[in-house]
Amino acid sequence: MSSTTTMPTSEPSKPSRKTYKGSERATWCAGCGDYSVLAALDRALIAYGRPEEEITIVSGIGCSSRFPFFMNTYGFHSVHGRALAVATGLKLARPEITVIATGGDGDALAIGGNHFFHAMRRNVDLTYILMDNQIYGMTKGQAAPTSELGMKTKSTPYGTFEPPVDPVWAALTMGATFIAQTASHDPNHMAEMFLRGLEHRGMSFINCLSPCVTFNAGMDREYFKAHSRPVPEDHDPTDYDAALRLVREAQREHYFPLGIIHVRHEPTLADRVGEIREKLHTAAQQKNEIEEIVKEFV
Amino acid sequence: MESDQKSLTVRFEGDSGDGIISMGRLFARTAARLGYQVYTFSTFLAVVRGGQVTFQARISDAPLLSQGNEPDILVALNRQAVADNAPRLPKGSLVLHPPFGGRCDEIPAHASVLEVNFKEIAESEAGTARSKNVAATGVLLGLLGLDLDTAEEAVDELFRSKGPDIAIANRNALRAGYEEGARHCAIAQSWVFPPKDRMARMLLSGNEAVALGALTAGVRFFAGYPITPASEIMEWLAAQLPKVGGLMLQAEDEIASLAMCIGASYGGVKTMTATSGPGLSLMIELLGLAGMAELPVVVVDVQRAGPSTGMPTKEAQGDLVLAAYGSHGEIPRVVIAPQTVADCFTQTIRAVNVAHQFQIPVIVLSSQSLSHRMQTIDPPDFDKLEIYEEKFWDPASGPRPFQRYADTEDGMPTPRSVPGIPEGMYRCGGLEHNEFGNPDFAPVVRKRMVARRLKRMAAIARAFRGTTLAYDVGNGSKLGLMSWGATAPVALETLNELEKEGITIRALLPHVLWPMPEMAIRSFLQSGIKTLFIPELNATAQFAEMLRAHFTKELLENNIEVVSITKDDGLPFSPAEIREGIFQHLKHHCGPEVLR
Repeated sequence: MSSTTTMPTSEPSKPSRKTYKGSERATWCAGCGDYSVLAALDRALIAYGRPEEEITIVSGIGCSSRFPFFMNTYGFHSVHGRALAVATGLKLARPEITVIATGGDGDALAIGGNHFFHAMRRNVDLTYILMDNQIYGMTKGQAAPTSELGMKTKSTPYGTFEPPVDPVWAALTMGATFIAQTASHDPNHMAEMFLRGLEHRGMSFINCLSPCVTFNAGMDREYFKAHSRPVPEDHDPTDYDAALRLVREAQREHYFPLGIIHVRHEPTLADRVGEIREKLHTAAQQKNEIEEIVKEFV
Repeated sequence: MESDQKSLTVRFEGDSGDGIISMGRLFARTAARLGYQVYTFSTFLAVVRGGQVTFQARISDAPLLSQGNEPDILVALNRQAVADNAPRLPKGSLVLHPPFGGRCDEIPAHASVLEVNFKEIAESEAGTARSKNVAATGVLLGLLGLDLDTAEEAVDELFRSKGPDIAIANRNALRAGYEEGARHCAIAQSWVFPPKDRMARMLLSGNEAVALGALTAGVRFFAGYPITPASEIMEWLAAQLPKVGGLMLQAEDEIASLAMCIGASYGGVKTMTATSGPGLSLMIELLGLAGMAELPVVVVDVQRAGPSTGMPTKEAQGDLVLAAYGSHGEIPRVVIAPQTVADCFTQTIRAVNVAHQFQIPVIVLSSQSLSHRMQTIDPPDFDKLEIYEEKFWDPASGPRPFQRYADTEDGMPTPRSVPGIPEGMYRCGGLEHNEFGNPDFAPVVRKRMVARRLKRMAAIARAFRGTTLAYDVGNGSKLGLMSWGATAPVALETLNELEKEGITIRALLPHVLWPMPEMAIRSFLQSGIKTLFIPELNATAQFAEMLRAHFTKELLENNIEVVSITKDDGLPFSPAEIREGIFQHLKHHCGPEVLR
């Protein structure tokens, strides 16, 4: 679909630490987990090695949705909850572009819940990094869909009434083909998970525990550290049932499993469309094709 | 209608299981192949089965402007169809119906009746009573003497997908019906006239014409969500887009539909979505994003009778204000309303062109009657169609540093870059931003960017001058009329009829509703008209209100009285209704001398 777009012909230079760094300075609170997420994504992109103009970061609204402004790539800071829909449209229109979506738990699972569900099942080749802090930070401290049952926030003075969503469980049951969980207190692990997500063909979902030190101080680095465990070495991520069991066990025992939860290889949405296009094998002569199509009305 | 134009209006009516739509399509397709101009209208209930279905087909030897008034021939497949239509049957009309076990006393004496047992014909010739609709259509075609071979071809195409046996059975039913009709042809003699030429015309619905226009204009990504009466646009494009390397994706809702289109547009691909009023309401936030980020996208709103779920299968023109003003904050946009099926094709192409030329969202306002109506159009000359291709920023020759939102004196956008273009990286989105696209809330920047976006409207208005934004017909009258969308051609037919009676009314029928075509409207208002009729299908006279708001000075200075003729019953205007609206006013407010 990109016949009007010129792609660079020169050999791209090897990316360096400056390649993806935006000119804007990040403006999160001191101690915010998102700083190290940004640094880890930068490292993952350097390892991934694509030229900066072939990458687009799409986000919604929220602290973590500020990512596009802090990176020297194409960027689209859309509206609250719609990052995945915008990213889906971009990726399907321009399949050769690497599309990364970033956002927070409210953006993904409350206002964007409908799009989250369908993005997971569509298996569009996207990498989605969700920065999970279990609170609404940008609007200064209201309950999030990931907030624990009974958590007191500005909007839940008596504690929340609703049990939380587990983003990993949601992605797993909704059909994502790559699911990992990582945490901002472990930069190396984050960079590795992001890179694996970028390399995966299909919907890569990475839940990244990233504390909000200002509005959810109880869930800081130490809390997440204390409540997470690496995925057991004998876990086979290609075994879907094993992944389900692992996440259920983590829920029962109240910890966050860090690592690759599940991965499987399936045709992406673009692959399936490509098959149909090939069957119709008519893309070459577009104008004549339309004149052919018109005949059905005569 | 031209003065010596001949036309025939046939109404098919029956139960929703009777195959009424197939009958109408068969008749319409046959006539279009033979060179007749065709105009159809159908109405049915929102439920899949059950209830009365009507399909009206009007054929003529010259282009048609409306579906006509009451039918010349009524093909009634159930008793209720006779009862519903009998009181208004015009003089000399014909009712074709199966036996109902008794006389239909309500049919007026000035109409003639032909009773044929369609079911019996179908059972003996096709082996199934289900083909009774095709048998009845055969009787009609035989009465009129329309070419049987052409009709048989049409039957084949209509039923081919259901298997060869069904196609053959229906052909048999058609032929037997045709013979029966031919035996009675004397009764329909007054309705027989030849077409002007034998050119086979394209027969398509408004929705199909919109979709074909989008495809022709270069739309290659479409995301949509099912909604009556717009779904056919996405269904047709779902089949065609992959053939030209594109894609139709059914989204999870209307919000996602437009968000996906906006994402694809950011990628530099031409995109469109189509919906109806409830969907447009959901899209308004995203429309603001497209306006703020200056991304071209086309949204088709096939209006239906609201508010809320309202009457989903019924006609209305109630979304004009939403389309023109609906937004949080203020964005540049264009609203275009096609009036005919031919317009659905050409104005959709214009919408896509305009969206990319000005980097703005464009709304195409269609409506239910237009969307489902089939009308003949001359096959387009693809070499003559103007398709605008956007030139993106070029790192080799483009201005540096690259400013995505560079300020320009004339308000025109500068070339944008899209992912993949080196050194053209920028961040776009809904936040207020500076020329580079970076967030900036400084009052001086804000002022510049608001002005930048609104200057776009002035640039659009300037660029539109000298292009056809409206039909301007008639002259030298104190009476004027403005109308839009599907109502406009009906109004035009009314005026043509009145002209024959010596009453001249000047009309301005704009396609572009926003920005309001200022020059055309101003000169129209200064042409000497004193009474301005505005027929439209809503209860609050939305177009008239917009006109009053924007042309207060001209209306006052020229002492023009605006007379709204509104209707909100779910059905399109007939020419007679508009005529009635005009006469009502003239009777009460002027002496008979005004009519001279």
